[in-house]
Amino acid sequence: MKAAAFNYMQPKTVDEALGCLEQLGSDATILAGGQSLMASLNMRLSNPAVLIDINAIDELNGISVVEGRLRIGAMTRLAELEYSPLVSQHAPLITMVMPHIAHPAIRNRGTIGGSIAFADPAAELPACLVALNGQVVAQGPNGERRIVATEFFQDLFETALTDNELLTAIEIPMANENQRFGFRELARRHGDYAMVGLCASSDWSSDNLTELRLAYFNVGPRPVLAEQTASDICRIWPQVRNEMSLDQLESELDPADDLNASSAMRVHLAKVLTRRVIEEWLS
Amino acid sequence: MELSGEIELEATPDEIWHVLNDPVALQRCIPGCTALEKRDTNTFLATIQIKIGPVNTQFSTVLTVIPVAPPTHYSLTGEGQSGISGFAKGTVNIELKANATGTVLGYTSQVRIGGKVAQVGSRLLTATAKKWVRQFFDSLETVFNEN
Amino acid sequence: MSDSLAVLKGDNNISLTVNGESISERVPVRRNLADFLRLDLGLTGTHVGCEHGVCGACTVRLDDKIVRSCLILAIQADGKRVDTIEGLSDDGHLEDLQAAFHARNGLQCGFCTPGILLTAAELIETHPDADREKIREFLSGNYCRCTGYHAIVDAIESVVHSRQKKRAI
Repeated sequence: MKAAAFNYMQPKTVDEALGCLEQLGSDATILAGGQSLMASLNMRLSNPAVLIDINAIDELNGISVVEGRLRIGAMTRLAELEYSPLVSQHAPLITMVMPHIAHPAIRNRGTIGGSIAFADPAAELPACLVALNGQVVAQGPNGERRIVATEFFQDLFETALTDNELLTAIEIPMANENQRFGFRELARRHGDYAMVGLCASSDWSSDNLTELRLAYFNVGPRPVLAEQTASDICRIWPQVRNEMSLDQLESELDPADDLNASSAMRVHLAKVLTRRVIEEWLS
Repeated sequence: MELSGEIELEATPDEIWHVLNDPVALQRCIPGCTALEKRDTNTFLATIQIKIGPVNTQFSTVLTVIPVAPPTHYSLTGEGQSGISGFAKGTVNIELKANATGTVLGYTSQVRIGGKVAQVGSRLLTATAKKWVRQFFDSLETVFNEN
Repeated sequence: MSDSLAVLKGDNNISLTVNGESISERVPVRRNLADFLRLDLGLTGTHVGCEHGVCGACTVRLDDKIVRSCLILAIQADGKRVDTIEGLSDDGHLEDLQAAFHARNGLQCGFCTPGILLTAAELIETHPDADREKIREFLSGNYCRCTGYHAIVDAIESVVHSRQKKRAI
């Protein structure tokens, strides 16, 4: 069906956007790529009074290396991330994940800022950011602040962003040659929301696994960093093939039941995905 | 779907009972409740704004308070509609038991959600309902602590 | 906040290029690009299926990239370039793809076809050596209820091959 009526503003700068948020409060909704919001408006699940379209704010674009971190502007389209040489060099996990996010036409409009700020529990990029220990850069009336990914995603569709803040960029530590990355997700059809997914980042010292970050998605209201499981795996490496039981995951993950999978099945699938990522690193 | 749980509050069952039966306090407990109008002794018309993820819409809800057995057993039933977005019907049964530090509040709830919201959001229903119920009891605790 | 930041309500003027032609129209703020193309411009080759971005029937080009026109507001296309199936067909851009679809029975009712042709065109432009698996992956966001997809993949693959041959010459 068609969207209900709303008013529309198109700020040209971050300051103008912040001004809109300050003035309109909860009447306003930010329109970034629109691939989630417009769908919601068309189905009339959402009836905001005013849309604040941030597509014309130049300062929110651009991928660059700043002070040893990869900085990605909030309005960077997913398609740009997919084909960016800077991203494949400095954050190869993102390059691995991109072809699994929806479909090309969606990726041509959808943005990284939108995906992170919306924080859909089944989305890949929030888990990716957690696995990479990235940060969210937000601007508000009190200036700029950085929020580390593990603190940013708080609850179902709830992030640390306050109502008068705008997510302006994502910053990620640059990958080094002692790191390996892994990504697996299980979806019924290519591009569907994953039933369960895993973004993994690991640090090595020659053949020894020294640090591991396992960030699962669609296993609860927000991405879960399974710290106990990760440290167990590091501890028993390289005997991991024979000794890895992954039972610890059962207590670290608490997924809900839904039409696609039961809670138990999700936990089981999470173990399967973990084994597949580990296998890839062992071979 | 069924949701249940238990929370501990530093207040006597009588004090919590009073809050649950006070429309002004109740409005503050219900997440997103922008208006609560009394219809008759135990019935209210509530306007509840649900803003979780893709859903940002108003539910016009009829709430019925059933003081089943004061001051320990209490029931709240709601039937809400949000135009074409869908409907939600639920009952929360609350049992208050005194303990050393105050009260243990046990709740069981049955919630049915239907219409577009349920069709499109089926993968999120349980998580959303759980979050809403959590917010209700967090607000109850806050309202309580302020009194 | 700057007093000069306009609040658009009701109907507004937009100017854009559609299929190479300059267009100026007055549209409601809430109208999406698919509806604008169909209702205001009579370009009904762009189809409306699901209206939430998953079926691909509404696919058009915005500034030379494929997008879901049901998920873009008409006013967001102000100052931009839109190309629809009508324009891309008329200027010959899709000629070899259309011939291949015709030859290999890549369409039956035709509802998904404009979206699929536009998506296939972008696929071959960005991945000129796409294999069948890549074709299926790229086209996975376009639903077809009639053909079972096989003939569509055949048609696209044949165009990949014929363009490869042309480049080799």
